[in-house]
Amino acid sequence: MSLSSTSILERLGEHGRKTITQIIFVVYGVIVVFPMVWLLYTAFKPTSELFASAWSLPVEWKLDNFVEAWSEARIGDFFWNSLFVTISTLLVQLFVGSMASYSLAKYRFRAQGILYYGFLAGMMFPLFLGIVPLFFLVKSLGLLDSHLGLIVVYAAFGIPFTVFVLTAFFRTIPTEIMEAGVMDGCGHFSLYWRIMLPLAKPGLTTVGIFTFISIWNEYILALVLLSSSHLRTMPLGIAVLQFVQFYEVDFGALFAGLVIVMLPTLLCYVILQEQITKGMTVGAVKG
Amino acid sequence: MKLQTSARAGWLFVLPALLFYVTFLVVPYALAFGVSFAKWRGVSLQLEFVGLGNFERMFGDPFFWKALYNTAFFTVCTGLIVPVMALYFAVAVTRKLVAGARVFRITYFFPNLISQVAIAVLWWFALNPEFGILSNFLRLLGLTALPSWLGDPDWARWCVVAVKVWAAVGFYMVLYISAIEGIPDDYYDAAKIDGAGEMQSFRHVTFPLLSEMMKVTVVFLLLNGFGTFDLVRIMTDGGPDRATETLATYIYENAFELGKFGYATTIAMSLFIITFSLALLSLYLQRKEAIEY
Amino acid sequence: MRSKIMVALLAGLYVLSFFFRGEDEKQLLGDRVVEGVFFQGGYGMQWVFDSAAEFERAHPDISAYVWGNPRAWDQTRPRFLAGNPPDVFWGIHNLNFWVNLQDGLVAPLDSLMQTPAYGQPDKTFGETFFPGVLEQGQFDGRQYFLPIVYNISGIWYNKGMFDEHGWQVPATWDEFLALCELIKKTGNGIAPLTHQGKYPTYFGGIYLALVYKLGGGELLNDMDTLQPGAWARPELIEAARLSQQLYERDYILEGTSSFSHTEAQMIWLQGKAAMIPCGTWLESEMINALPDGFEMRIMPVPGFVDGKGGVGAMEANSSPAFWVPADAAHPDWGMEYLRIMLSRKLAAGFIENVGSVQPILGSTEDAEVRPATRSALDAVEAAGGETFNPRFRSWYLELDTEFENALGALLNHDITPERFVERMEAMAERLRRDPDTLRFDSEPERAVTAKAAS
Repeated sequence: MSLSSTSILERLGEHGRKTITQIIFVVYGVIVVFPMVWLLYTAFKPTSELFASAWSLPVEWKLDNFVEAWSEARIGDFFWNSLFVTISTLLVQLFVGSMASYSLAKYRFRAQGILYYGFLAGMMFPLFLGIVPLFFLVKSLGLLDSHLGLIVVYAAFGIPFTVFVLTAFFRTIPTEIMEAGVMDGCGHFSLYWRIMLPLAKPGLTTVGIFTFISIWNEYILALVLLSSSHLRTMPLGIAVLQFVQFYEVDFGALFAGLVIVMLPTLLCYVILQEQITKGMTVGAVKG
Repeated sequence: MKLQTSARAGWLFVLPALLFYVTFLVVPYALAFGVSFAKWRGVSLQLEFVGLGNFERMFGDPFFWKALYNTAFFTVCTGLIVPVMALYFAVAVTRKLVAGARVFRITYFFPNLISQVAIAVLWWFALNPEFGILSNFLRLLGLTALPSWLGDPDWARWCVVAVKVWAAVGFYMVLYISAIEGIPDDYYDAAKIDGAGEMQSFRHVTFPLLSEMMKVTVVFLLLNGFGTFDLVRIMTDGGPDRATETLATYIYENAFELGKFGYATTIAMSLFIITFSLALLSLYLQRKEAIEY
Repeated sequence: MRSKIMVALLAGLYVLSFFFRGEDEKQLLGDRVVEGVFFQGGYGMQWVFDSAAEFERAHPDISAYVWGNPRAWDQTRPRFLAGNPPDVFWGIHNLNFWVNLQDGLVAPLDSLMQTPAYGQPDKTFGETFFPGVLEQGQFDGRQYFLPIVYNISGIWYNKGMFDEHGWQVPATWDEFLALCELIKKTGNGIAPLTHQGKYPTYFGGIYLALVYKLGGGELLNDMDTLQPGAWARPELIEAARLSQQLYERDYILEGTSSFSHTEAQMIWLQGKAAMIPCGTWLESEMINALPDGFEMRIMPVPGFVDGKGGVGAMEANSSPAFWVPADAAHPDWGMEYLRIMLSRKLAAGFIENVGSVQPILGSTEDAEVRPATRSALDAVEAAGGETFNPRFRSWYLELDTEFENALGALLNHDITPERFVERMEAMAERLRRDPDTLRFDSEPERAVTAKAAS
């Protein structure tokens, strides 16, 4: 920060600075929220009304757009597809990733360090470098154009982040607890499954929420790996709907579709807001 | 303790993850190195080795340079604007400089919950020069002669930057907030006793202690910026006149639209080399900085 | 507590998702299914469903599964690579037909062309097309692609508006400029011209017509075949200059550069501009928005008395559209589908439902051609049948993209006419060197002759 700007700010005084800050916050808040609010109420307007007046509230609040989007534009199918793919990925990724993290945090064996940093390195590679070979790899495994293929790829791409957060988390769990488990006669797996995993719940929640949001919204891999229209996920469905607008002007269904894709993650956030913020702290502080 | 030293069990726990990871990440990335030296149209597994031919072609390809320039432009702009805005918001929220901090903290994060596709479609419409809310709003203010936003090569670039910033600020704000909240109150109390105002305590307490965090965010932003795809693909499809073409959209175009898979992978390789070395460089530079404090 | 509810909710939804996931309609139809994927654009989808119904009537033992959307190509590309394509295909957007041919994805249709036409057993299928249109889908003398429409492009106007103001349809470019001046002065705020500014390819119709009318068919052919220097010829600079001049003289409606095609066409229909360039699909695309009494008519892009191309010549083409993927499960059914879809009977139905004309002989007699399209057919006749057709737009996708980009920059006055041709020639040079690009060294039939001779 340069000297002159500092002195201007200082001269404004505490009160003046606070007022300016407050104004900036409100203005930016409007910039963030208004487009979404606008989208929400516009989704209840027929297209003709939208063109007549971009701002006004709907004359009549009608669900037609949603019905059209859900059934005719098949957003309903895509919604369930997305849900299926997202939760399946979540289960696979959390199970596989938590086992690995547990081992990396609590076991001692050679190559552990290499494995840990090897996993983390996955976060450094741009998706686009691997996408062409990945496409042909998935093809040769016969998993192209299937939900299963998408799920395993998503789970694999989620492992670096899972390992990053959960290893840090498992490390915070005292080793004494494990010893107590051994006393109770737990084997390797039941120690992990019955004792450690429940203790790691906050970490799992964090990873789960972030994975849910990112998979629910993922576009590139789905675009490349899926082709049949009945398999499409929400972002693909929305992108197609947007493209339809080039040929038939009907924004109603598009906007309704946008609302349907946005609501689950927004609701999820409002309900679980604290866990999400806490989760980010885990990554930030322990990393 | 005995359990923990069982290398066999340790490996068994890691194995499934390793299998997924190697199959779908390591192998494709490794293959990419080979493919980038081949002419490959992707219809058969037959690769025609062309040595450095693809790279030579890339260096002579003006569209590649344009895409690289645009990508760098987006990355640098968001990399400068986002941390500054996010830090400002984070400090104001945590240091109670603003009323209703909790509400802002929640709402500013909203764009990070929405699919990039949805954001792109939303702004694609909001930026429509005829019917979009932006133009309509400016007209209310009495402005005429408005640009066509995404239709104008110069404006389109800045529109993409603005939407990227809009989509990212909340995330970094929350990151910084959590980092600032991790700073013990004593530090601020001590600064206050020394007679420091908000500005000074920011300069002498918050900022130095956040350097660790800045490291992470710069790398995030680099990766994020160089991977710009969804937003551009949907808002402008790289246009007008390739003004918003990024390396990622150019790779996609070459691979999945023109069938030049080998060439596309070569461009991807350059993308990787650039991001990787920039990430390393920024980590290195910031490490030096951190030591100075 | 909250998180318990969330988990229960997600678990419930997850179970439901097993039942409500999208179903593969094709599998529900059984084993004997022909699958057709079609681009959904200005023609809608009804004609596709009609052809499926006709196919099932003719072959009750085979079900026709047809679908489409504007991103059909994007979505089907992975299936082509996976060796699992549909049986018949049209996917216009971002599609380079000839790249697919080069990659061996396209089945030759020669045998189909020899089979009797559907509903006209005295003719072969190949004989039912307008003369000259089939060669646009040929390479090395073999048929690979079939057209969907016979499209004529030019400049559209509202005859009612012209009559009301006493404006005359211009024949030459000078008359056209005079008309624009007149409209600007006496039109009560009506702008002489608008175009689909966001997609400069539409204005490309005017530009390429100017090039043809200045330089003639030979120049166009040289451009199409990427002859060195062809894209830098003075006629191209002159046409670029004339294009920019329309802006300089303020003949173009304000805001045009930001209009999408639907916006521009809508604004034209509302009478804010007198003329707009487009192809004959315009009528069907805007049919629902057509105001009462609007008389949509076409005129050729005006020419030059001393030009090498005819003053009244029209751009007309039947660009490649339908093809049968080489790896299709049932390529023979795919061909049969095409035989039925492009029959005289369904082509007449196409005219009635869609409004555009398919290049099938006799279909224009069986159905009433709408007035706008009729005016286009009349214009071709008035020009003595002289038509031209820039082939590079389907041959070289990248050249066409650069053409659109550079034209946009030109109309925006971001670049000069000289720079415009420089960019085009550079792109042509790039393609000449690109090992990945399939070359068309001359008209396909000439390529055959050359091959036979060598």
